[in-house]
Formats: sequence, structure tokens, C-alpha cells
Amino acid sequence: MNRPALLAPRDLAALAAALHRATPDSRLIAGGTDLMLRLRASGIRPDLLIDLSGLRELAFIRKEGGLVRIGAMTTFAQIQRDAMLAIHASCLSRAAAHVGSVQIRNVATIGGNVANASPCADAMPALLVLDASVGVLNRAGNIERRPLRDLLAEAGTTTLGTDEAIVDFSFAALSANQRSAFGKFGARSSVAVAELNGAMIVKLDETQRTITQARIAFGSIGPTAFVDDRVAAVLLDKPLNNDTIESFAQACSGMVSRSIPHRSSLPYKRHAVRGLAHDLGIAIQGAPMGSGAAEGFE
Amino acid sequence: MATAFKYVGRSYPAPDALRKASGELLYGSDLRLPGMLYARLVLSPHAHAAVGAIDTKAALSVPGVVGVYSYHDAPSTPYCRYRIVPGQAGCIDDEMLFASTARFVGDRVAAVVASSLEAASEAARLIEVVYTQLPPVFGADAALESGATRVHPGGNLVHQFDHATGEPAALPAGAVTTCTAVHTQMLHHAAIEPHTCLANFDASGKLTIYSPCQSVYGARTVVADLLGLAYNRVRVVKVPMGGSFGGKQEFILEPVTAYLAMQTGRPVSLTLDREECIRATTVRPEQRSVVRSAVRADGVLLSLEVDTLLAAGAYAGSSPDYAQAMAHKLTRLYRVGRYRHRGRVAYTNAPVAGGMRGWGAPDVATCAEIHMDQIARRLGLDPFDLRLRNLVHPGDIDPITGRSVGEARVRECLERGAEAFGWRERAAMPAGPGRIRRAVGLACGAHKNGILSGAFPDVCTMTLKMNEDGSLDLNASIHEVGAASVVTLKTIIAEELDVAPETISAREADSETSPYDFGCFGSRMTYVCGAGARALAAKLRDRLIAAAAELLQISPMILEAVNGRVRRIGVAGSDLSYPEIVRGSRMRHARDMIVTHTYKGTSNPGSYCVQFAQVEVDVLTGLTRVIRMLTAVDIGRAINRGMVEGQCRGAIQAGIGSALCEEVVLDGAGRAGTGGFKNYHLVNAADMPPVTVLLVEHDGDDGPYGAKSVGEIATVPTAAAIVNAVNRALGTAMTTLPLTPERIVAALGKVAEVAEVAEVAEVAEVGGWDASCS
Amino acid sequence: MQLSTVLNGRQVSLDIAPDARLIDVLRNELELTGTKEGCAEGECGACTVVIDGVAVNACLVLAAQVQGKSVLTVEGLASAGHANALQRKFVELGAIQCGFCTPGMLMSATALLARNSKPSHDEIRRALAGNLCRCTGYAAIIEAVAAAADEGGSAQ
Repeated sequence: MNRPALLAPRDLAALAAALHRATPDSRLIAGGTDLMLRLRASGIRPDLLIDLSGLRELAFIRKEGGLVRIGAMTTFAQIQRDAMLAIHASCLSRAAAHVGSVQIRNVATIGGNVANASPCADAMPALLVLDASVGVLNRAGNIERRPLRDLLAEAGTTTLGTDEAIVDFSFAALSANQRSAFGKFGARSSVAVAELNGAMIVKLDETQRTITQARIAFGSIGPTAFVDDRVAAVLLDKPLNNDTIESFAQACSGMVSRSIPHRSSLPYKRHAVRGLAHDLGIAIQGAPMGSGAAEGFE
Repeated sequence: MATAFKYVGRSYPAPDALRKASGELLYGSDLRLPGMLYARLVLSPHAHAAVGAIDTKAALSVPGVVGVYSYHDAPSTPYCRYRIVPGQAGCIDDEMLFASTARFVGDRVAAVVASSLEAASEAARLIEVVYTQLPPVFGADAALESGATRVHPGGNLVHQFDHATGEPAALPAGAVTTCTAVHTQMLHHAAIEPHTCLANFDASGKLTIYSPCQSVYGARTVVADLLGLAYNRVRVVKVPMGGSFGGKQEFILEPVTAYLAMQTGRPVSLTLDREECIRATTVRPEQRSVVRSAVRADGVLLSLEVDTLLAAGAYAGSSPDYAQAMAHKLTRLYRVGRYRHRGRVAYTNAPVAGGMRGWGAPDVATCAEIHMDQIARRLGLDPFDLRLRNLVHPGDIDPITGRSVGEARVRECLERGAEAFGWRERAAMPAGPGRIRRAVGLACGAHKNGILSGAFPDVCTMTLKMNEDGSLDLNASIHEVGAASVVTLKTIIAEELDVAPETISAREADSETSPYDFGCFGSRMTYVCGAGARALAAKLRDRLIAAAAELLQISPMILEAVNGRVRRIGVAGSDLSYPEIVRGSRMRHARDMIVTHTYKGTSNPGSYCVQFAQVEVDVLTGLTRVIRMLTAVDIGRAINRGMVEGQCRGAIQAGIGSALCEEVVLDGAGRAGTGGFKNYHLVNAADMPPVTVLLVEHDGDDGPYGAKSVGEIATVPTAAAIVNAVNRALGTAMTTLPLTPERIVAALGKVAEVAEVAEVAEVAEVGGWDASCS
Repeated sequence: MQLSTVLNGRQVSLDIAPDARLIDVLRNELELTGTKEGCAEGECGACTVVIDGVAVNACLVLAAQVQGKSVLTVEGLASAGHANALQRKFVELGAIQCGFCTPGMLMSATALLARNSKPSHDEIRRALAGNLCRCTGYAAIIEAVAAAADEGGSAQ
């Protein structure tokens, strides 16, 4: 039996060197919670495994002025517990809290979650509404920034090349008059793959009563998560109240109809998305002023 | 009826609890024998296909591979995985070690044996099988249509019956007839321990099987008969089991593992992964049932008819008996003049159905209790009152068996349970108009104690010996499935002999050394084996007294055994300790303090349970949360109180799953279990509601100290109670389980638009099977 | 490849395949069968171990990734043969029936109590949401963890 070679780079230079050796049969392993499953299911033996877990410099959460940066090897447990993110990127904070179980969150990384590109990935809608850019390292050792949406491709794949690796994510920190929320539901209330998930950011005017900007992203509906401008438009210049949220919910139903017209899950998702919409609306309305945070976390 | 017990009624830890907590206890897949090999199965990816040539060249060249086996090499004698006793009626021999015709996705086609699991897995992937696909048939109803593909040459109808008691009578004026069609789903037992087996065939031709099974003698029967070995050349050892819930009852891995051990002459270990466990062991059968009743205007049942169609899957297994067992449950629960039960069992190209905890009682109770709630709604009766009007009373005769239901305290369970649950107050609260609807539901269930029916030997032989220091060894074929049966038996013996339970040592079943017991099924452990243990202990006590009489040269009539000593009744200081008796008697009279007793069950009263549930349903997402449950169980007497409660709670976890989120789904190609636990959802700690357990202890039956069974009965009405609560909350009449969010949203779609709901409206079953209710 | 790790408090070095799963190295090479395999996909939690203080599913961890880290399994809970408070409470309070989920539960609870010495019942439930049990209905397990916390957690 052919065993894969194993490289465990400890810094970015070593990672770049490792990427040099990668072929289409090579695999990067971050936390391992997705890759270990894929390898077992497919029986594929990679020729090379590049173990990213030694790259401590990629496990960080920082705020530099108005910019938040998160290293690709940061775990969801770390994201969930970070006090700064709870204020300045609460939708991502909440999304992290909903990824799998404690055991999964302790090892699953945000980089791995995005690279695995499951249509149900919980971090995706949050990162999309945050308009995150992705730092991608190539074999030459250069880090190129790309918008996250440029990485998205068919379900389960990204546009990343064989010799590229995600190193970090960055996005503008939420300001005092912005509120964000994340919502999800599955077959049971916790430790469930998303049937539907979504994230939203709204900006309010000085009175904190009218929505001046809105950005919404959904996951688990199509092959990849996506931002929906039509739904967001429904919220513009509207008061932040129950009537507005109800229109928003109707718009979400319309979005589902547009997205998966032929899927057998359409009747259900078209109805149930209104629950997600109301959950997001309640969370946004409940957020204390100036914190950007939509709800507490454990 | 106040009785003070010294040991019975307390709470004791599970046997080997400390060894389980330290990680030291070895389960089947932890066992390692010198030279042990690992097996992997090759399972059919097709639901129906002729198995042709099997190319093993690439597989055999993987380093470490010892052999590859299929029907080309193995005996093709058909056998029945459910058979426990030789010559057992109702067993259809239709399964082979390896299929020459694959009859479901998951059918065994080949096995690889290698020196490591990795090598075996690699080799299994390299085996090339030529399949000639045949048209499959899914669904029992489709299977019974004329012209349907035959799963087996003899046709798809495996079994049918039509039982009735009483006479159909003319209905009085004002009588109401109701019909309900219910669909209960395939379920996975989901024991956390996957199926496993280890077999060793030594140079002397002796086969040893280490299996977490429920009957070592049953495993022996099937394997010895199949492989042509004398029964005393097949030793089956019951190893610690990580849960069964019926899934390890049938002999699924023992025959093939034994065969592989015989072929290689080395120990062979076979452990399935989770997908294989879901797909290729057994499932609770998928069933469609129709319940029809006639009731008086005041709700008293006049007649009850049940029509069940059960999908056996690819092999008959226990399905004929399972279907029959369902016919014996409702007349233990309700007084009804006329009961008719028709059952049909059909082959399908689907996973094999097998026994699951409750053995048909949960299935039939689900139908009957959803039906009863529909009657209650039509008559404008509180579901509580409707049940109370119809439940059996102690001493009623079950018309199907002609036997007494014994100390049936189900009415007390209902009344005390409703009081403790706050049923009246909670039932009076409106479901609410908003997004979250809240309601309560209840359901009643009956099960049994033992398998007394004439079809099986409901016997248990045990031996008890006392050592020179007064410690005891119990030798019995105990099959511990996780309910601490070993502890139950020790507690009973301790109570009877008036010695501390810690002085008793007991091991689990070993067909070579422990005497015959039929097996851990049919809710017979406490009721039959426990009663046997009590009789056994009494026998030893009598022997101790007789020996003491001999030693003391006085009449045994004036002796009594108290607190580990035999003494003259009422006279202090004139006694002998048990150790003194053992030693003295052996030395002076060549008498050993060892007794053997064969106990036969002579009654089979009902066990009863009433479940109360409160649910909240989100009408937008369709998600249901169970927010509280109360279970009232007619337990007779709790021997190990903590374990009885624990069993109830575990049963409720499974019941909630079967009501709301557990389902083995077949895709279009007949494949089940894809994705393991990712797609098969169990209730986890976060979703588990608070549960109150109320034990009704009113002894009087033949069980030890009045005890009755609990492990199965607590599963019986659980799903129905939850379904009833959801239907009340939403004003729906859903009858297809599980009530997934999709089904709930679809059912709501037929009710008035969410925003405009003002009153509860009743709707027909959505998308379900209602052909027979017209 | 050569794997060096601190396992249950002891330095251990052994030769492993680069793509070996941690659960296989524990159960086979190291013969520590206390860690159980229930699903091989990180759903049941029976294989939970504690790596550098956090609970993880050993079936999803590449053994190579514990290089230089500390690993705690159920075999490492007792000291000198004496069960610790968590283990004792599991035994005493009926938290163990078939016992197959027990090692995983104990390890998740160990990680929880190391981080939060007085968890609420809700916090315990959420911490154990990734550990499935089919026997107990969870209540006795939650009680046992709470009782162990009252007694001072994992301390003897």
C-alpha cells in the first residue's frame, strides 16, 4: 500500500515550499474534520498530505484599525469565544457557535470550512455578508487577496489551484450603527447540518430606526452560498420593525423559489425560510445599540 | 401494600460500571487473540442483481490478505438468522452466507480476511463483481401486486394471518365509526456499539464465537446446524455489549464470521461500520396499518380492527413472528368485545427487518393511540376520559390468549400520571395563534412479561453455589444488554438469601459452561429469569437449613435463615453461619451447598405504560421541540430503582426520535443509511427534554417480588404521545412518522394560511396512504 | 514516521503511518481500547479524547497532528488505580448502562470542567451535545457531571 508523504510546514515559507510539491492528488489538511471523512468515503490515497496544524502563525484573530483579520487555521471554538468578534463580526461569531459539536469546533478551522466548500458550510454566509477577502498563498510565497465570492465554484470545490492555500480572511469591522445576525436550522436544534442558513448585516441611520444598508447571504439552498441583493433591497429605507421583517420573509420565500425551482425540497424551504428570516429579524432588532452584536453567546 | 425490603428497590450501578468508566472493560471489537485476522464484507450496491463472476486477483495481491470468499466457495445451505431453537416453527430458511442473488443494497456478496483492517478494506475495494441487475421492488404494497418482481422464487407473500375474537355485532344507534391509516417508518436501533463478532476455530475442530448476542444457545443452533458441527463443538460466549435494542438479537455476523474462522483456521474479527450497521444488519420494519373502530356515543369501544402490511425486506427473519406479536397487544390494553387483526408480511428488495425494542408493540400502539385521539376529537372527549373508559382492569381476561392480564394497573398509571403532569390544566390551554404552537398529548401502551405461548421454551436453568467463606457464584446464561440484568438477579438472590449483593458473583452466558436459558428477549429477563433466580435462592436456603438441621441434629422445621446465619426460630445464640454450614456439611456429610433449578414461566401478565408529552411546534420551520415528558409505568416492583428509571429515560429518547426525526430512508436505488449518523438523527443531550418517571408499584403477579418488565414497555406509547401532542397543537391529523419539519409544513399547507388561522381545522393525511380508509 | 507525544502524562514515541487516524493508533498500536469507535465520522463522540485541554473526536484526527502535543484518554483519568470524581459519580448516579458512550462522555466532561469548574446544567448539556447515548436518556449523565463539579471536578 502506498502511504502518502507527509509535510508539516511550521511557517509560510515552508508552506510555500510544500505547495511546490503538490499535485492534483495532494491534499491540505487543516483541522481534518472534513478531509478525514472525504478520504475514508472515497478510499483515495493522496500522494502527499500537507499538514497545516503546525502553522501557529495562521491561528490569530486581530483588529487592525477598522479591519478584522482572522488566520485560516483559527478554530471555530476560538472564533466563538472571541470577545472582539462578538462585537465587530457577530454574525461570524454566531455562525461559529453553530458549527457541529464542541469536539468539531475545537479542531475545525475557518480556512478548512471555506476550502471544503460544502453548500451547507456555516461560515460562508457570514463571511459573504462581511464581504470578506481571502489571502491566498501560492507556491512562489506570495499572498494574493481575492474576494471570497471569487473562490466559490461548484458544490464541494473552490477555484483554488493545487498549489494554493488560504492563509487568512479580512473584512471591515462592523461599526456602531451596524448590526448583524446569523441564523440556521436543521433536523434538530443542535449539532445538525444546516437545512437553511443565512447571515445579514444592516446599517441603521442616526435614529437607529431606519435601515439604510442591508446585505444578506444564504447557504444550503444552492450549490454554494450566495449574496442576494434583491432580498436586501426590500429592507432599504424601511423602519426596523415587524412589518418590515414580514416583507423580508416574503422576499426570502421568493428567493428560494427563484433559486431551486425544481428541487423537491422547494415547498419546504420556501416556507421554512420565513422562520429563518424572522429569526434574523428578531436578532437584529434585539441587538443593543452601538455594540454591533445581535445576541449573546455561551 | 407496604413491604420493607433490604435490597430490592434500591438503586445499584450497572455491572462492571467501574470497569466501563476506566475504559478497561473489553467489548467485542476490543478483543485481540494471537494471530487474529480482520474481515471486511463486500456488500451488494444493487437492490436486486444476480451475482456472477468475482475477480479476486487484485484483492489477493494486497499484502496481508489471506483469503477472499463468496458463494463460489461457501456452502449455499439457506438458513434463518432468527432461529433460536432447533425445529423452531415460523422460521423461513431463505438466507445464505453469501448471496448468489443479491436481494438488497447491503446483501453479503463476499468477505476478505487479512492481517490488518486496512489491508482487508483495501482489498475489499479491489474486488470486482459482475452483477446482472434485476428489476427491484420497493414497498410492501408494490411487492404484493400481481406481476411484481419476485424477491424469492416462492413469491413475495411471506406470511399472512387473520385473527379475531368476539363476534361482529350490529352497531347501536349513535355509534361512531372511525378509520385511521398510519405509516410507521424503518428505524435503526442505533446502539452506539457497532455490530461485531469474533470467531476462532482451533486445530481440534472446536469453534468458539465471542459475540454480543442475546442468546448464546440460539447462536449455537444456527451456526452449528449451518456448518455441520456438533453442538458441543461450538462454544458461544456472550461478551460485553454496547447496546442492542433488538439489533443484535438475530444472528447476522456469527455465521459468516464462524465460516471465515473455519476456512482460515485463525481467529477472525468482523466489525461493521455505521453505514453497514444501518444498511446491512436489521431495521425496524416499515409498516402501513389501518385501524377501524366502532364506539358508542360515550366513547366505549365496541369493535377494533387492525390491518397491517409489513415489509420484511430481503429475508424473512423474524418478520412473521413480529407481525403476529402485534396482534397480541391491543386486547391487553383495552376492553373491547370484538377485535380483529389481519397481518400480511411481504418481501421487498430492502434492508432486512428484525426485532426492535418493543417488538411490534410500539408499532401497533402508535396506530391505535393516534386512532384513539381521532375518536376523542370527533366525540369532543378529553383523550384522558376516552382512555379511562376503555382501559383494562386488573384480572381481565385477554380474549386473544385466554389468559389474565394480571395486576394490570394501567388505569392508575393514567390517573396518577395525569395528575402529576398537570394534564387537565395543560390540555385546557390553547395552542396559541402565533409562530410557536404548544399542546399536550398522551398515549397508553401494553406489553408483556415473558414469551409464554407454547411456541418457545420459556425456561431458564440456573445454578447457585456457596463457597466456604459464604460467597456465592451464580451460573446462569445471563445476557446483559445494558439494563443491568446481572444486578437484578443478584439483588433478587440477595433478598431471598438475606446476604449482601456484593457477595454474589455472576458471569454472562457461555454455552459451554452456563446452563440453558432461551435468551434475553420478550421482556422475560426480570419476570421469568428473575423469578427463577428467586426460586433458586429459596432452594439454596432450604438446602442450607436442611444441612444445618443435620449438623445441629434438630428438626429443620424450627430453623430459619436470617442475615447470613441459620438459627432456631426465636432462640438467640443457637446458630450456624453460612460458611460454617458449607464447611461442616461438606466435611461431615459429603453434602455440597450447590443447587440447580429450572424455572418455567407460567403466566404472562401485561406491562403497562402511559406517556404524557408537551410539545412546541414552530409553524414556520416545522421544527418540534418536546419540552417535557412524564412516563407512568406499571412496574409491579422496581428491583433496581435507578436502573428502572434509567431504562425509561432511554426509551423516551428513542421514542422522541421515532416520532420526530429518526428514519432509515431508501433512495431511489434502494440504498439506505448513506452518511451514517450525519443523516440518521438521534436525539442528543441538548434536545432531550426533562422527563419525570412515575413508577406504579402494585405487586401481585408471578414476577420476583411482584416485579414486571420495563425495558420494552417504556418505548411502547412514546411516539404516539408526541404525535398526538403535535396534532393537537396544529389541528392536523398527521399519521406518517416521523413528523419531520417537511411533513409538518406540508400538513400546515392544507390548513388555513398561518396568518389567518383562527380555529383549529381538521385535515386529511397529506400525501399518505389512505386507500383503505375509503 | 516517528510520533512523539505526551500520552496520559507519559512521553511516548512510536512509529506510525503518516495517514493513520489517532483512534487507530490509540486502539491498535498503543492497545488503549478504552476509546471507542461508534461511527467514524465525528457524529457520536464515543471516540472523544482531550488534546491540549480540548475535547476532539479521535476518529477525525490525523495521528501525525498530535506531534508534540498532550493527549488524554479515559485510561488516563484514574490515578494509581483510583477512579477520579467524575468516574465515581458516573458509577454512583446511574450514568452508566451499557457503558459504550461512557469514555467519550467522561472525556468531554473532563474538558468542560477544566475550562468551567461550575457549569450549569444547560452548559453541561451543550458541552455533551456531541456525545450520543442510546441507553440513559442523558439525565443521569448530566447529574453526574454536575455532582463531580460540586466535588471539585477532576481532582481526586
